[in-house]
Amino acid sequence: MFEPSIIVAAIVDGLAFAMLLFLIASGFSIIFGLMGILNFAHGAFFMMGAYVGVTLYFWSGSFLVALVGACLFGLGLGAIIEITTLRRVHGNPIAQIMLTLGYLLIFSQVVLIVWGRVPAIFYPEGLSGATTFLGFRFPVYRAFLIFLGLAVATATYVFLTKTRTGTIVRAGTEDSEMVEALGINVKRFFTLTFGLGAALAALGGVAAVPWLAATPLMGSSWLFISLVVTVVGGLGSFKGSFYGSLLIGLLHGLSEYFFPQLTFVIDFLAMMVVLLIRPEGLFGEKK
Amino acid sequence: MTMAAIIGRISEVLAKKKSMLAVLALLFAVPFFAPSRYYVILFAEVLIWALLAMSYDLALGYTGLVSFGHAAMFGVGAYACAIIFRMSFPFWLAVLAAMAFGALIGLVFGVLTLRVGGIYYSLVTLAVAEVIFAVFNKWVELSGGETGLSVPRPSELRSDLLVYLMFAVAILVTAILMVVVVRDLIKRSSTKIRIIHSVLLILFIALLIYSVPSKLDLVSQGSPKDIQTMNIYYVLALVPLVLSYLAASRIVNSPVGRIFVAIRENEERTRMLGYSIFKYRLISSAFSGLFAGLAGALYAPFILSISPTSVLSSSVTINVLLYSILGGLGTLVGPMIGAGIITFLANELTGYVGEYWMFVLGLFYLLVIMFLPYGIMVTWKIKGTSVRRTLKKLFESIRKPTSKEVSQ
Repeated sequence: MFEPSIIVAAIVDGLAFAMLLFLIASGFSIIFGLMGILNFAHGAFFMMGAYVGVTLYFWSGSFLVALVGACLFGLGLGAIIEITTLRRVHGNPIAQIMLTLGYLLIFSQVVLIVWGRVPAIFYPEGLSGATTFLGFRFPVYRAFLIFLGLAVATATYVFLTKTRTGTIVRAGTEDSEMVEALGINVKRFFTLTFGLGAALAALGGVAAVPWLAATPLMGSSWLFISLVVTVVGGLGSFKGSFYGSLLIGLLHGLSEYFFPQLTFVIDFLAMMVVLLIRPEGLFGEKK
Repeated sequence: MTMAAIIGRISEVLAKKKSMLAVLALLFAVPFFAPSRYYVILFAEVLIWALLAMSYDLALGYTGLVSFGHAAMFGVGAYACAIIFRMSFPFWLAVLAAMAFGALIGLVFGVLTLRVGGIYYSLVTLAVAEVIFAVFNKWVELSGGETGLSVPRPSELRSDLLVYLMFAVAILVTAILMVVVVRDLIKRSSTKIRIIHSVLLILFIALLIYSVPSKLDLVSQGSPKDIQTMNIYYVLALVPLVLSYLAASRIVNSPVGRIFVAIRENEERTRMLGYSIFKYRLISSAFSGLFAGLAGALYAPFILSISPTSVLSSSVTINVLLYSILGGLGTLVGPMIGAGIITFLANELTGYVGEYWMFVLGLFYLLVIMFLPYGIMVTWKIKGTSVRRTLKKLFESIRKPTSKEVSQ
């Protein structure tokens, strides 16, 4: 059972899963940090990204078009939702939760209406099959996922730390009222952050399709697991969402190989333990 | 106390709590007036969800505890009732045990507030609920696993006793109402009170006329028990709901309830006044669990078969959250109304738009949040007086010309 090849396979799976988790959880976390919104629609963005990606792939035949298109779609969708509805319930957390839940319901149905119940999947050319590396065989696509995740994480990190916009977003996470008092239109950054978060989730969604397929139920299941990741890493912390994804992804990968029955129990137990020992999360700051 | 004094007292109470009594009378009359058995069942389901929504409001609306794990209390209650009842203990014992288990989960949730607050409390409760869900999903010996448990219909409820009891109550109420109406005429009470009493009387007389012959038929034909059982389920849901509502409104209007609200509004200040925040949160959470467990215990025999997905999954919590927000937090009645509206809508929508009713429901949620962010009851409390004034003006403007015509 504990042969090296299986352990390596579990770790590769875990890392690939962690990168998908990071794509959905980082946006979730930053949105919470900046806007104080527990965005229940985030799983829906992930799912919509997956399905739009499927359609784009079959329309254009190019994986790149699917990735970029889903990303842009997520950006637009997030921005529209923020401008038209979320902005109007600013400062009312229960209304925000209910509103985003409403979107989750709506998009779950949209998916059923437009794409149906049957899981959708495609296999991008050049990324399918398996490869051998250091004597271990593993699927190429999972390696691609790991690289994609690391690239996006680096890009996001650079964006958040080196650009003016990113600095304002980080400052807003610390204290959005103070930033507003400095003469910056925080609302515009709310829209931008929400859109970017949705875009990252949509990217994660389409990237997940060739491995896990797009299903109508993925919205809520990915929402839950990104919730776990964000809480373990620390709500509102970008760094936390990265390390949280790694931790939960690896836990998930290993438990799926060794205790497949208990995968979700282990995730939620991890979240419970972290919350009770260190409520602010591994990388969150005490408030 | 003389008979006259008793009737006087009754009519005083009737005059004071008119709207509540009218609603109660209507609710009791539902199984007799419902066009088909389907609606009786639907109404019974509404009542159970209303009870659950009320229990949630106790913690969320009054004490400000945003729990995302309410399904745990409900589901554990349902499973406790089902398991204990299947061990052939009497049904009432199973219900009591379910309430105890619900309160136990409530206590656990209450203890969690010691460690985590705010959004973290919501997430811990969610995690606890998901772990409980997984345990019930996998522990086949205890819970029957994913397929769940079938729950037999309690034989206590098959008897005709409850139906006859209902008739007895209806006859008694009708008699009292008759006396009260006569007394109104003698004492020259205000027109409004007279009208309300007369309407109630007519309602109950109609109820008796409408229902007695059909019931007698049923009994003489060796009665298809199902129909009566459904009616009994309705009563079985209604009576605990009414009792729980009375108990809960007693709690929230007591000094303890005031402290709940104080904690919700300003935790620090309440602590400064010398109240133990933890103790009162524990009380609130335990009561919330008690009522949720009761709702679960009623749901189990009603639905006949329970599974983790139907009673323990997060969708139960989400539904209850939506009921509460639609109805209005911190009003007890509001969440019940919300439960009624959404359950009805969901059922009716399934008829019109088929499997896509969730889509319409989602749009409905969006509209509610955008235009009624504080829920029906709270909005009514804020805007109610002005609406009533407008309506009154409207009625007066309609009435005035007619009175002039009469005088001319």
